[in-house]
Amino acid sequence: MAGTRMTVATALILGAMRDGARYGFDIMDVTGLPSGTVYPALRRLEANGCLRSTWEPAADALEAGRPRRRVYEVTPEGAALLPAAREKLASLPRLVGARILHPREG
Amino acid sequence: MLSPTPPTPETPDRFVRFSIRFVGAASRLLPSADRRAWRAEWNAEILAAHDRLARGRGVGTLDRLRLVVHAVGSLRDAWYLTTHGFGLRNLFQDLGRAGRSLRSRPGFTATAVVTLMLGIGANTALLGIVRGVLLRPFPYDEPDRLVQLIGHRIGEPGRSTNVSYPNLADIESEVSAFSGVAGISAWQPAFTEGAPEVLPGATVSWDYFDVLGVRPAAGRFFVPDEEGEGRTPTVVISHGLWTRRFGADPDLPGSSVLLNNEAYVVAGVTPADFEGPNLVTYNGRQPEVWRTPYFDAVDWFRSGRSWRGVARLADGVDVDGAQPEVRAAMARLADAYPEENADRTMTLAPLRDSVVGDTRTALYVLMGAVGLVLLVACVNVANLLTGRMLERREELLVRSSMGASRGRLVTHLFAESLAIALVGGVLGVALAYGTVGAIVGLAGQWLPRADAIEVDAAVLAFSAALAGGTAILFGLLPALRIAGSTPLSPVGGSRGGEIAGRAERLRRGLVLAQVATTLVLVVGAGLLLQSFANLHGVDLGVQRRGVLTLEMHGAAWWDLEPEAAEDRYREVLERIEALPGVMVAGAMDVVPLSDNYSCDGVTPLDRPPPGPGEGRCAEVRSVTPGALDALDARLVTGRGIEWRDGADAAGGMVISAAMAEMFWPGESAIGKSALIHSDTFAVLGVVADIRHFGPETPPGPMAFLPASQEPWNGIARGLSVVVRGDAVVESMGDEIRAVINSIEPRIAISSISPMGDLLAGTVGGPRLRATLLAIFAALALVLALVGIAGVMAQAVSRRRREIGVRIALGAAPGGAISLVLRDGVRLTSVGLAVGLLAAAALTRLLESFVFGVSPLEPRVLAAGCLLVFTLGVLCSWLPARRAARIDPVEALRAD
Repeated sequence: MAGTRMTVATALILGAMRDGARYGFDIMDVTGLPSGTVYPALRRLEANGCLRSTWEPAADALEAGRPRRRVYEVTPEGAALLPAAREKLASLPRLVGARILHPREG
Repeated sequence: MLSPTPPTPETPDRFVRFSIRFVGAASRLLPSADRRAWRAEWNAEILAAHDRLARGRGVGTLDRLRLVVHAVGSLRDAWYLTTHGFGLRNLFQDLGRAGRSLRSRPGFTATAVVTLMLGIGANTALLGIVRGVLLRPFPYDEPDRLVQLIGHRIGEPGRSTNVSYPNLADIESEVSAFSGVAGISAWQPAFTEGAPEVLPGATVSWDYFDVLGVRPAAGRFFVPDEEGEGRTPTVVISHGLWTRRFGADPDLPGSSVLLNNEAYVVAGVTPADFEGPNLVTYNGRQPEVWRTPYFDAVDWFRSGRSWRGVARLADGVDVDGAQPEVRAAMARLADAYPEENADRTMTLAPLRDSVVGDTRTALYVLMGAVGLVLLVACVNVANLLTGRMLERREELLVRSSMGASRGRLVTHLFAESLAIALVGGVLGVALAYGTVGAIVGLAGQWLPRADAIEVDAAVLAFSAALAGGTAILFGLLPALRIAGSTPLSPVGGSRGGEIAGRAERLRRGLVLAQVATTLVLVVGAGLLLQSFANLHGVDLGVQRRGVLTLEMHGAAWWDLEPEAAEDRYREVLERIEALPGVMVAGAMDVVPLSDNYSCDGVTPLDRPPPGPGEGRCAEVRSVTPGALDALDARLVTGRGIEWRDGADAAGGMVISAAMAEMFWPGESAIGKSALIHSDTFAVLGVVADIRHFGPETPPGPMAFLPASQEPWNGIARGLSVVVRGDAVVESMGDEIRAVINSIEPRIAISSISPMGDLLAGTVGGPRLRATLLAIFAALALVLALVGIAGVMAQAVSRRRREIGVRIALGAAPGGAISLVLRDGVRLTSVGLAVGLLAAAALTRLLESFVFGVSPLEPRVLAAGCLLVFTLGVLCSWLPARRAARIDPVEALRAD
């Protein structure tokens, strides 16, 4: 989708959602990103049409004994961004992680 | 948005409670409509996280703190949502969407865009003029330190006249507040080799360009040795003349040119952007060649006030600081030379002020008027948009229930206004580019510095700001109002009606203001048009139709003996009179309605001699026989000047009625004699007054001497030819020029112009002011009428149901018409009442621009009211007719 800047945070969020994370706090747990980063990113992705959000069915909430949570899903437009996200994450070791992942001997 | 089931926390944990309270506080950032859903989302996550932890291994303090940190992050989310509604990227998206939506409603869009185009265009054009004339500094070093020295009688600062060169020289040596003083005086030479060409020029002090603070583009300016008795004749020429006549020859400085049969060394060339300070101009034309005085200042006439003075203030001195020193110096000069200087002083004025004179006030008044037009235009567009936003309430409602924040809605609505303002602004600037030239043309010679008027970057920046400002004015307010009142109100319900009613009240208030503003402009335009008509009705004392004037340069005359010159004039005039269509031709030194000025001392011989400073002066003209007849000046008594009043005959003159009244009140002036300088002239006849400076200036005393007897220059010089006859005479310039050049090919001829054009030149100011204000008033009137019609049409459609019921209950359709008409009459009348008060307060600004009419002239006020009222009622009559045709069944079914 045009206009979506692929940041590391965006890539991590999309990756986490592809792996099954559906709620904002779950995404935070998986990615380790703070809420102040995750939520604005979700809002932006949704505004760009990459995500869609709904309230979970009332029955599910009742069963779990808690209020209904907001569920986020990747739209086809969002799915089209996944290769770019993967590439962004794959470039991470080269950029910042090289020394951490492959420390030099001695 | 469906609300989620409320949370029911089983274990009210302190940290959870804090987190939820924090989220609640953060939600305050959001528009009220979005708060609940947003809080629900965050609370659900916080509770879910807490539950999960509790079900697992119990909640540690670290986990609780982490929860709080998560909750605090909600602030960034809320902040993001709030600010994002107004984000620039959204605005661009909205602009695109607004463009599409505007294209789908061409009628609405065109009305709004054209309205703004007119408003912004008129403002841009006028600002271009104001900037060119008033705001743009002169291209000199520190132009703010330049002042004009205005000579005048003590206590009559309004009647300013020129200064004399010796006085200027003394001021320069005695006043320490100036770092330099320079004089400038008119000089019109002609090239006497190559093509004959008369040049606008000036005689200036050697340090004139240094005082102004200008550097030459080529060569050098004058040096002290080049002024005074025995100087080498030297000139500085303008960049334009250098390019036009000499092909910008870099070797020209240092070589000589032949001007008036005399060789002048060209010292240098002014820079291309040089602009004279408007102290000496020729019907708006700036000097193109400058020479230095050929006499020493001390030897020159102290009473010869044909100079204008300009001075540069010394470091750290301002106008008020220098003024007392100048007054003191003039007082000393009055003691030293009582005959010439008694009762005279000099006043300093910043050069910029003295140049623009009354133009400043007029331009500011016009600027105010055009600002009012823009205001009326904005009101109209605001009205259009309010109506449109009301139509779109449903759409906005849907958007809001889809989760659009209030900010988002406002941005969305505002984008449309911005798009309209952008297009209107661009078109307006194009309009200004196209019309500014025409406006400057209307001004004639009234507008100083007109060459430099253009729509430049600064003006464009102003227009951009104007467009943005208007967008905010007409777009943001309605957008905020509508967006603020929309969320969650049921579609088409009573609340919708209430909003529509509130919006209509707003629109009525705006239209009322429009009517008031329009009346002010209409009355102002009426006053100026009446003044202009009055000016045209003034008896100038000369014929304006079928009269042509042209100037002959003197260079080809000066080498003639007086008798030969007189013979040549007879021949020239007889040959011109022989042309078909010509009735009479004559020649005189300065034709009426041109911008020369002189006042020569006149002393009647049958009165006691005047004391110092009591002498009186008159405009003294040199004329050949036929000249006064060619002007069609009416002889009141006595006879005109004839060829027999030659150099050898007794001195005679024709005087104006004002002069007869001034010197010989209540008695016949015929045969009375007066001393003009050192010669005696007896009155031969009296002619009706001639308004030499145009209809605005009351006629002063004038004396017409036979050119052959005129003591200073005689007849061997170039006079202006005046020709009267059929209308065709006005276009016979080339023919007459050919006749003159067939007698003497070296005579350079310039300023060929019909008397009507000279008149038009002198009334350029009133004409421009009246025309522009009339255009502005017409614009405002049209816009206000559109406004009235719009509001009435909307009122009719809102009251459809009521009117339908009335008709169904048996009311005649005429009743419906009068119902709506009454409304229109009320709206217009209240607007007019407010407008009358405003007009009474504001037309005082026009005081100095009205002629022969009071700023509160009841006839003009009444006519303005009648015009606006009639058209206003007419505009409510059209929607009223629609009201009468309402089908009650349709109207009732619709709801």
